[in-house]
Amino acid sequence: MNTALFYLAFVLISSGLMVIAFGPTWREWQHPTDTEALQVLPHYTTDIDHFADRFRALVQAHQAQVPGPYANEFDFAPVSLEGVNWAGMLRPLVCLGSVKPQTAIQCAAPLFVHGDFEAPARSRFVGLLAQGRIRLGAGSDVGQWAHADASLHLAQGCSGLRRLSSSTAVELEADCCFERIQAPHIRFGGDAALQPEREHAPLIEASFDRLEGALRQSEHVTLVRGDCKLPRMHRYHGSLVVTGRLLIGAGTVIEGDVKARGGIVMGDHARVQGSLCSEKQIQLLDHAQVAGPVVSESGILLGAGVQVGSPQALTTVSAETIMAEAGARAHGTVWARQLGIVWSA
Amino acid sequence: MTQPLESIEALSQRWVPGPVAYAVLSTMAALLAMIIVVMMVYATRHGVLTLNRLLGHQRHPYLDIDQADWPLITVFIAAHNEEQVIAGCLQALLDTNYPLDRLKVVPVNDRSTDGTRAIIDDWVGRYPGRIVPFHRTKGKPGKAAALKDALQHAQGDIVIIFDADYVPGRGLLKQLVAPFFDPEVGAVMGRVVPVNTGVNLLTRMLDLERSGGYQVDQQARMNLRLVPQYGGTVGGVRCSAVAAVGGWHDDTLAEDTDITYRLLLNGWKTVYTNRSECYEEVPQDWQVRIKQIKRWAKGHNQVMVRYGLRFAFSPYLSWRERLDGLLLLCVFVLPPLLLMGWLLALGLYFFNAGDMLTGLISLFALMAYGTLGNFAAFFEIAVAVLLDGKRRRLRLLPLSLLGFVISLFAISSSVWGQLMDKLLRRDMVWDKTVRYRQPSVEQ
Repeated sequence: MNTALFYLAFVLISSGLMVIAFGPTWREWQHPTDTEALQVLPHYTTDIDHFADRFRALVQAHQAQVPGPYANEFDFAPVSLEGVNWAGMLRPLVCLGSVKPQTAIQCAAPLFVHGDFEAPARSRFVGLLAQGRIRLGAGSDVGQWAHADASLHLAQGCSGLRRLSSSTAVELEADCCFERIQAPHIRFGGDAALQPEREHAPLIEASFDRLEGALRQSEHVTLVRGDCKLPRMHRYHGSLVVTGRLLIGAGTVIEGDVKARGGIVMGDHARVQGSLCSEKQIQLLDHAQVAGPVVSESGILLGAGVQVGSPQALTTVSAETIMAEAGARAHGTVWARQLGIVWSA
Repeated sequence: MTQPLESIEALSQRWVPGPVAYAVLSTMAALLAMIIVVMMVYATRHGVLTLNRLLGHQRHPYLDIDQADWPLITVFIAAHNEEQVIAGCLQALLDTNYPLDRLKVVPVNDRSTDGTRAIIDDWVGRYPGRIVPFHRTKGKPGKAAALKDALQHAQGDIVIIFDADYVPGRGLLKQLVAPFFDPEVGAVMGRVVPVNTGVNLLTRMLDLERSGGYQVDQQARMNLRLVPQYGGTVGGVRCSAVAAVGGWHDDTLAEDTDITYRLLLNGWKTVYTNRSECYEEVPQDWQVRIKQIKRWAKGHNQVMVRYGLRFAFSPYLSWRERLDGLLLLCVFVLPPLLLMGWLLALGLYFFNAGDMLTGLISLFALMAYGTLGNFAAFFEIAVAVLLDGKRRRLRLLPLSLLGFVISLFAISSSVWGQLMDKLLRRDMVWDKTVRYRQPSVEQ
């Protein structure tokens, strides 16, 4: 009798506990409150100039007097900039011409400039869009985004975190910080550090198949298990995958894509005509060239005179941290997920 | 005069097993113990993956590649009687931001008997040169066989594959192609999101299941450098890699799993990109769902038999990849194992094996608690839904028990059928999943 009671109690308590869980379930089933499909965005906001484009569209809509939520949301500044209360700005500001303030400004709202814009040292902006060129003085700060239809120049020690973009060129002088940059020409540290390229000695034709531990994976891809060292001044055809670390000798040319899980050091004047990928750090020593994307899950060092991509074939440099020495160049996108810095050697 | 009937309890207490019975009971107990261990391993796996997705470093190594010299690609749209959805898919593909001069769209019309062919030809006429149809009128039935034939019409080394009911977003093609800049990558998989979530209870439950499978399971495997699975659609393959591992197999019901494992076995990697999302339809009635899951089970188990052993000893894979790959391969063997565990436990109980094996039966109770509905898998779903930012649909989570039980019997029946197919040398039949969407306006 006691056993039967025990089982009965067990069943009742278990059922009761279960019913508690099924209560909200029953209500949601009978009266659904969350039945929409998850949203798949047709457009991605990861485009570096996304905010600049959106801001431009708002300004243009405003100028065209298109009714909209922001139709009366802009302030206008005279070209002389007299009487502008930069720090107290609550609404986006439109400057109807090129402007060059004489004293540092701290602009609390996005700024649209119909022309060139030149800011003195230690200025600060939330967002900045100019239809001409932008020059920011030393130690200036861009909080969210800046875009110039002409060139965008950040003097020494500027901070351009988040998004910097230009339709022509972005130049960052030494000690600048950045996250995402996009432009057909991206120059780090100015051209002062560039040295004339040395004469190339004739290259020795070589094959990945002769490397130790090499295994042909497909017609174009060779796998090397363990570390791998390519000698200097050789030319290889095809793509290479290395499970360990890879050292590409100075002046060596690889006509294909390269992946090394354990990290890559690319010697000076070496060239990769495809992509360069690694799970660890990638170091491109002086004057190395990569035509395709350079992707690291750790960090990338761009040495002086390094060139990634070309004006005819834009590409992407992406890593957690990117350190660019003065004289490094990239064409396309440079994306440091945590931080990028222009290093003055 | 008849004796009063003794209770079963009294009888069992009097029964003392002989040596044979003892051996049988011990064997049953040992089997049960093994099943318990297997279930615990899977529960642990779910837990590890979920915690990683929640707390670990998230890997999206190729997502930032937004500018590059994009390669020539071919996009295949697998279509068999898809008049309801094919136009929407074609329109979406033509609206993507992939350079048009590097893009070839090939609708693979596999022996359709409805208006699919006419719709495709209409679109070819409207966009000459950009859409190149492949009308297949004969040959082996099934998506794998159709794609195998269509591969001969591919241009470029990268092939992206969609089902006709998928609607790719504007940036999806670039996101799916970007990982192929890594020469080690043989296949890429994006995330599938149910579009018909709100139709009925089944679609809502499948939405939860898909969230768990992609948002947590696949991404965590990507994070941990395990075995992200190429799913056959919303994804792509490198043709030269597929050719190097023996080409596309059309004698399988799960060509996606088949190619995933052959690529991995030969040193290639698969990549999952969680932010490359695309809508799909999920089954809206249980019959269709049961057929779908039975097909998956058969195909998956085929791959397990073919490559399981080689995978366990592959020199190209880390121990973590081997372990995860094997667990993934065996996932459709679990339901019959679990059923067997229940039967064994019942048998042991009625033979009063508790005297010998008390601890084991307690352990089985724990296992049943953890795997009847598999709380670890539910945890995975819950975390996925939270990550997706849709908390209220979590209220339906307890009903996943229902889906679990139905899947349990469907898969077990499928495994049984597969064994019979093997014994009787029957061909496996490919069942197409029913579409529900209404024809789009563009048609």
